[in-house]
Parts: sequence; C-alpha cells; structure tokens
Amino acid sequence: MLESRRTRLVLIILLILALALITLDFRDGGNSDAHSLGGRLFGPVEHVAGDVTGWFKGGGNSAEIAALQQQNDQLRSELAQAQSDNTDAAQLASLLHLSNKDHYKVVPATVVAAGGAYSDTVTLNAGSASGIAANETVLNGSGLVGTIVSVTTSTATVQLATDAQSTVGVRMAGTGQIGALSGTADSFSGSAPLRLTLFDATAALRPGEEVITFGSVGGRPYVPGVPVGTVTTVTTEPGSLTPTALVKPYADFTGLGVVGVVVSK
Amino acid sequence: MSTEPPLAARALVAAALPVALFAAVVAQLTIVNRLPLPGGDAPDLVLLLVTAVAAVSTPLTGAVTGFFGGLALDVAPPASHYAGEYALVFCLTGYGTAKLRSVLYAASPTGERDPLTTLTVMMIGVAAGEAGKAAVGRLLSDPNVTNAAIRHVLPGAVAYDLLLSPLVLWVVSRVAALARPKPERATRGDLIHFGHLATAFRAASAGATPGLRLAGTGGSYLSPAAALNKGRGEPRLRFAGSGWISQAAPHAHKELRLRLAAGGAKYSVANHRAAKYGQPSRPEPRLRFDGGASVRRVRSPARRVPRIRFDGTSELPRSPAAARRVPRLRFDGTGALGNRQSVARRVPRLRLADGRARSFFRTNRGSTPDGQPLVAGGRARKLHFAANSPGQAPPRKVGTPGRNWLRGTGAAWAAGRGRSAATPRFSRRSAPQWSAGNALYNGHKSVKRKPGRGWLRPARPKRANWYTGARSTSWLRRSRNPWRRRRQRLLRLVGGRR
Repeated sequence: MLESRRTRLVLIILLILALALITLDFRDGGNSDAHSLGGRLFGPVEHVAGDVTGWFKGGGNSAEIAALQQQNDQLRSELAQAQSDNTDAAQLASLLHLSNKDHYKVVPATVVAAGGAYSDTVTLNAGSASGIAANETVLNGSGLVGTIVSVTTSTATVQLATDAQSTVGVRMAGTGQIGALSGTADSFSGSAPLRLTLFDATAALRPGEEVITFGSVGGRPYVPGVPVGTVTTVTTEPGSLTPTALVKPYADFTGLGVVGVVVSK
Repeated sequence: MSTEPPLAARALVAAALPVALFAAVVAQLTIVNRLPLPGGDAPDLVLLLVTAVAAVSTPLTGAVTGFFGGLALDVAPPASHYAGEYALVFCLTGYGTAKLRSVLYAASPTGERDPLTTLTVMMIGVAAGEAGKAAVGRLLSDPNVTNAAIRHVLPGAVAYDLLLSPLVLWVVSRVAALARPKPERATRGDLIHFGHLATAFRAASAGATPGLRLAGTGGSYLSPAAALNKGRGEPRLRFAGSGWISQAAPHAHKELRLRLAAGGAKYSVANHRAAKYGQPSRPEPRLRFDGGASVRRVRSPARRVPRIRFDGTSELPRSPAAARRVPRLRFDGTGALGNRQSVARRVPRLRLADGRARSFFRTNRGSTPDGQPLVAGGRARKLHFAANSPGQAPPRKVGTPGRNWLRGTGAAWAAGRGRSAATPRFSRRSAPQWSAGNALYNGHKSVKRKPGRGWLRPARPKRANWYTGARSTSWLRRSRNPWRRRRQRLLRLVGGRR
C-alpha cells in the first residue's frame, strides 16, 4: 500500500511536470529552452552517430563522395539560378534581385537524424559553428528541401517543405504567377505532393509547369529561384477564388543525404 | 526462499536503464527514422523499451522510465512537437503497462509469471502508447497530426512495434533477470509426485518459511506442512531407541523426523530440551549407530546432497529410483531400515516375547502387560528406564512431556487389563524413553529397537487434509506443549495454517 501510494505520488508529479513543459513550450511557440537544452545534450551524440552511420553507409571513401556531392550541389544550385535567368532574364533580374546572388554561399551538410512519423524535420550535422543560422534555405541537388528552424553549435534542424507548418512563396517559372506552396503532412507516402495556391484568380495552371521559389526579403527564409517541383494535378474547384494544384517536389524527402544550406556571406 | 543477486549486478542493471534509454533515443532518431521501411512508417524503439521495462518491473519504474524516455524524444533536436507531449504519453503508458501486469498477476490464482502474459501486456501497452502519441498531437492541434496522417501512420507503426516487441521484451527481461531474486523451485521429486499439481504446489511452497530461525535452537524451522511436502519422495531415516524421537507426545515424530537428504538440519524437540534442561549425554546432535561410527552432523545446506555413511555399509540415496538400487541401511545386522515407506513396511516389527506385535502405547510401558521384558527381534533385551537408572532421570517437572501423554489411555488400559502391582510401573510424568536414549548414548547396554510401522508411530496417522496428506493438528489445540505457543506465533507470523 505504501509502495503503491508512493508510486501514485511520483506518477502525479511526473504528469504535472509533463503538462507544465507542454504549457511552457506552447506559450513559446515550440521554441522553449527545453528544446535548446535537448539540442545541446543530444546534438553532439547525433553528430557522432550520424558520422558513424554515414561511414557505414558510404563505405571507405565516403569523405570523397561527400565532397563531390557538395560540389555538385553547389553547381546545381548555381545552374538552377542560371537557368531561371535564361527563361526571362529581364523580368527576373528585377523581380528576384539576382544582382546580389553572389552574396550567397552554400554550406554543405549531411542529414544525421530524422523526426518521428508525424513530423517532417531532419537534423543536419552542421550548426552555428559552420555559419548556419535559423531561417536559411536548405536545398540539395534536386531542388528545395526546406528551411532551418533551429540551430545548435554542431547541429541544425530543418523543417522540410513537406511539413504541414511550412509555407513557401513560389512563382511559376513560365508565367511568373506568384502563389504559396504548403506541405500536406503526407510526406510519409514517399513522393509527397505539395499544395500550390496561386494568388491570381485568373491565372491558368497546367500540369508540367515548373515551380520555383519566389524569394524572401534578404533571402530568408527562402532565397529566390530555387526549383521546387512540377505541377502534377490541377485541383481547382469550380467556383473557387484561387486556382490550386498539387506539386510533386524534385527533392526526394525520404532519402535525404547531403544538402546545402544557403548562408549569407 | 529466494537468493538475492549480488549488489554489483543490481547496480549494473540500474545503471543500464538510463544508458539504454539514451541509446534508444539516439538510435531511433539517427537510424530507425531514416530507414526506408515499406509503408513509410517506423517502429518506436523508445516506446518499445519503456513498455518492456514496465512489463518486467514495477509501476514506479515504468512511469519514471516512460517520462524520461519521452522527454528525451521531446527535446532531442529534430523534434518539432511541443516538449512534454511524449513524456506525458510514455509516462502514462509505462505506469499503465506495469499496473496492468501486476493486476493480472495478482488476479491469477498461482501468481505464476507467464511470459506470454507479459508479452501480451507489453503489446497492449505499445499499441496504447502509439495511440496516445496521436491523441496528444491531435489534442494540441499539431498541424502534422491530421486525421489522414493518423490513419496512415498508426496501423503501420503499431504493426512494426508489435513485430519488434517480443525481441525487445526478451532482451529486457534477460537483463532484468540479473537483478531479480531467483525464486527457489521445488525439487524434481516433488514435481514428479505432484506433476499434475505442479503449479499449485510451487505456489504453495513459495509461501513456506524455510529460512525462518527459531530463537535459541540455532536450527532452521521447517513448517510441518512444508516439511511433509518437501520430504515426499526423499529417503527418510527413522530412528528407534536412540531417544531422539520422543515418544512422549505422539505427535512429536512430525517434527522430529530426521531428514538426511536435502533437508538440512532441523530442530528437534529432543535436542532443544536437551540443550535447555541440561541433558548430560547429548551435547551435539549426532547420528550414532551401534557400530559406533560417528557420522556427519545433520547440518547440511539444503542444496548439497549429504551423504551419510553408516559403518561403511551404504549411502543414503537421493532419489527414489536410486533408493531401489542401493541396499538398505543395516544396523548391527538386526534389521533393515527402510528408505521408503514400502520398504519400511517390510521391516519386521518389534516383537514382544509372546510374539504379538505391540502397539506404541504398550511398548511404552517397557514391558508387556504380563510383566515380561520386551524382546527385540526375538532376543530378549532389557530396557533401561528411568526407574531402573534413577541417576539419569530428568527432573520431574521440567523436560517431561505434557500431561496429555498417555493421558487416560494408560490408566484405562491398566485398569482394563488388570495390571498387577508387581509390574514395574512408571509415573505418568516420567520419561522412560529419554532415559532409554541416555542409556544408549552412555554406552549402557540397551535395547535396540527396530523401526516399523505401528511401533513408534501410530499405525495410521490422522490426515487432516486428504489432498496434501498433511497430518492432523488437532493435538496442537489440545496440548500444552511448550512449543505450541511459539509455533502458533510463528505460523501467525508467516500466515500458515493454525
């Protein structure tokens, strides 16, 4: 009886503690000190564990492969920007502020950890020590990956574009129509569709159109001109105010490896 | 009875728990979540570990383990949900799993720890934990936890968890077994005899108090019921004429039965009395036979197989099967001492001069009703009684059996049979058999009594319980045996039958 009473007391204390933590974190919008503390505690361990698993995954010359992939990513991102330049150079130059594209630098990083089934977040093995800060664009050789939401010294947490909490300002590569791209929390089904909503009610959407990022002020959280995906299905409802469509992302979010973080110089 | 594991093992297991939790969290985030498993789901290692630990331990451990495991998942870097969500869910899951297990075990009639039950409880806990994760996310309106997402994630995650739970439970229970006291199991002989009752028997013997010590005796007390059960199927050695087995109280042989195999040293009333009242001749309990060979003291640990040699004739076998092969013990060539009851039945009884088998009470008189001395094995030997050797008679008021020994019976018998005044007559309160024992030990010429049914023991002991063969304890309620109060107190202490 005594044992059971003590157990119940401990249980109640723990439950109150958990509820208090939830409340505090809820108030801080999910960025309470608990997360930073956990990042400080688990970040280095995950860093090492990611290196170990990466070594197993990549075999002996994983370092060389990683270096080449990083170079490849950088080249591809530049190529993407160059290609987008070519489509409508004059319009884009004024629209996307490409004059300051040389101010961007890509920091390579590797995904070392992934969130649970309900969250679309990954952890990179590079943090503030590598110059990464919050609200910076993450991309890989295929296209846009997401944005940094929190950093520790050695790790950075990326919110993927497929996360239900993420919204990316995008532009249609051909027509220049602008809109918003949001995740659907369906990334677990492999090639997760993103939901595109154009702001112009009269704009026409056709499957196969390319979607690139519109860009934010100062390049945060998204730099302009990064390819995101292609329109697969137009889901505009009859009588709706805005045209909507499903977009298939270029990046494979289930098999993320080496990514690049666009940091300001 | 249980053996405590070493402190180092327990400390190691206690330290292994947080390490295992930490490792599970890191492995979950860095490996399991990134595995391209079919269906896009992944098992939850932390939830599996928490439920497995809870399924083999207490609710307190389960709740604490769940809280810290969940908290680690909450704050470890890629987490995007609110801190405390999983801590809440896992804490409740761990507590509920362990509570369910303890309730199930308490409800089962034998308290048997069934691995399948443990696994089932753990699986229930795992499924509840997965559902709880979704429920809390929904409750806090996590944008990632939508109904569609739950419908997609939950079945796959539960399936993976259930698939992995036997493996995790096996590992965890193996580790936890290092720190758990090992329950003593019944001997093989018991299980052979009680094969169909094995489960109930083990549960019953677990409640006995073999380790209890009696103040003043230095021996360990074995409750009669447990002794009876335990001794079944093992060879017994019964003595006659040595004075060890008191005839004073007809019940005494219950406690006084000497166990040579696997029994360990038990207290005997005679021993205790000798120590207490200063019986001069038996400072130590020793098995001593006529050959004069001093044998081992019956103070052997329960697990060892004591081998006792008598005059180089044989050993006491351990198993009933062996008992059939090994020759019986022989004392002085006078008779055979049976190892088993069936053998004992064949042993010739002590015969009186007139050739009739005599009962216990009659032989107690030391002579036949006709005044003839007892004849053992056909050869007449005179018994040494207290009246014949006055110097060795114990003080009249102490050390004598209760007044109920031979109460009424002897007088009635004497009256009925017309006992003559010339017959050596002993006081009701004297203890002839003690003196007989003393005479034996002092090297006096004494009778060698042979064991047999109906002589020392009543021909058929009363059975109080037909199923267990427990002897009747009606004597306890009537007697004023000095051990009665202690025995009652002990039994009250351990919750045995009274």
